[in-house]
Amino acid sequence: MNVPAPNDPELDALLGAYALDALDTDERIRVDVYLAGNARARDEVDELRESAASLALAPVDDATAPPELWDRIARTIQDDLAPEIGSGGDTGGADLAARRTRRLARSVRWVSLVAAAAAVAAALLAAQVISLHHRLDDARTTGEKDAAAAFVRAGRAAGARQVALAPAHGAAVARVVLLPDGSGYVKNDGLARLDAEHTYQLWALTGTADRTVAISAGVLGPNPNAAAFRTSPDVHGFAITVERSPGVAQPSQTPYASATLT
Amino acid sequence: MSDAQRGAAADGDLARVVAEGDRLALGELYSRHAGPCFALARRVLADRVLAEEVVQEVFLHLWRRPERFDPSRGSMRSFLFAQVHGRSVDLLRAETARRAREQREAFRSPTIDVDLERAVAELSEGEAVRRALADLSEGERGAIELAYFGGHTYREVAVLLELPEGTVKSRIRSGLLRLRAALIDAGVNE
Repeated sequence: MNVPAPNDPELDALLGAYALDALDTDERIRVDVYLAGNARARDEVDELRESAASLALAPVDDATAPPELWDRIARTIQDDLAPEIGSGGDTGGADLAARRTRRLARSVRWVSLVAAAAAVAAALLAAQVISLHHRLDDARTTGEKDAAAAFVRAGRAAGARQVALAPAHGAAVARVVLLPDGSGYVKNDGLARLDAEHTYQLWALTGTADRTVAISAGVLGPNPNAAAFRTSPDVHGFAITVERSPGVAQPSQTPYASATLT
Repeated sequence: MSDAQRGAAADGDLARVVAEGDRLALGELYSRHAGPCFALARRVLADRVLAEEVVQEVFLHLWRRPERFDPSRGSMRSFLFAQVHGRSVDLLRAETARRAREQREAFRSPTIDVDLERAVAELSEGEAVRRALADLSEGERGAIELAYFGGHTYREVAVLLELPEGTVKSRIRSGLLRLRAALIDAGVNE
């Protein structure tokens, strides 16, 4: 259960800068965690973002998007659809709608861990790291593009478990597929690009409810796409932290996003 | 959904149809919002190619993860602007992008106040926004503009304005809240 966070004047003072994307990464994560438990602060951020959107009404010299840009977007969408639909398959709207419906249904089953984020955060701070982080050797040799394709295939494999990792405040930003043999794949669905001094790091969570152990599953880099990793098949969840490059042996930050396997 | 229905549909209705796989609905949202999105990205990044990249990413993300737009938390326009701004700032803060931008802007004068007020006045909603901005203190307006259009963190803004960080935080927050209230009174925002 998510316990409402009391108002914190220090963090409240950061909400304006948060709405303008004007916080350092560390502070942004602190505010994310705060917002997860404080509905009043969330409402204020929504209001502040509306203000920020008004600022964007100010045009530059040319407020027309290049005509060819939509063509590029449409081509990419077609490329996205091609592997799922299959060669010669039905590309009609009904088929696509059904595919979308299935995807959304899966999304519902993936537990959004806004409520659990604070608990995982507390657990991670006290976590014991069993092994040093791996460097995603599989991902390096396989390549991100292949890892993305492998992610899709793994999701269809027998016994595959999938979770969507959500930040403390907001929708899911990454998905993980874990196969029974402990091999897994992570895919970025919304992790913002970090500066060169920071990196995302994936942690596999194991241990007991009162003593979570975080095992590094890999350093993902500042702007990940997809990656493969290997971990114990009996983990009960995953978390992503933002760490100083080149990564750390033990999590130094509360999770930016997390999820428990069901 | 027919072309006529798409053209008349509210943004939220289009978003629901996008989630069902209607590319033309995404195209309608693109036709409504891509221009200002591109303008925002270009203003922050000062780079046409990077701005195109950002807008492409944002609309593709809307296609791939339409459920991330929650109409109960704000308008589609605000959602898209927030996505565009966040990604633009992320790019800007990458060291290489910042260096390139500094080189491009080496001969520019940072008179943002004048540019902003003149530009906003050209839009249909601009007059109300201009009045609301004018009601802000100079300190509030300057801090907000440096953070939003300059892509600076509030700490950087504090250095640029030679003010304490706490003062800048306070001015950004109070300025945005006052701007919001003024625009609601003017009927620009709900």
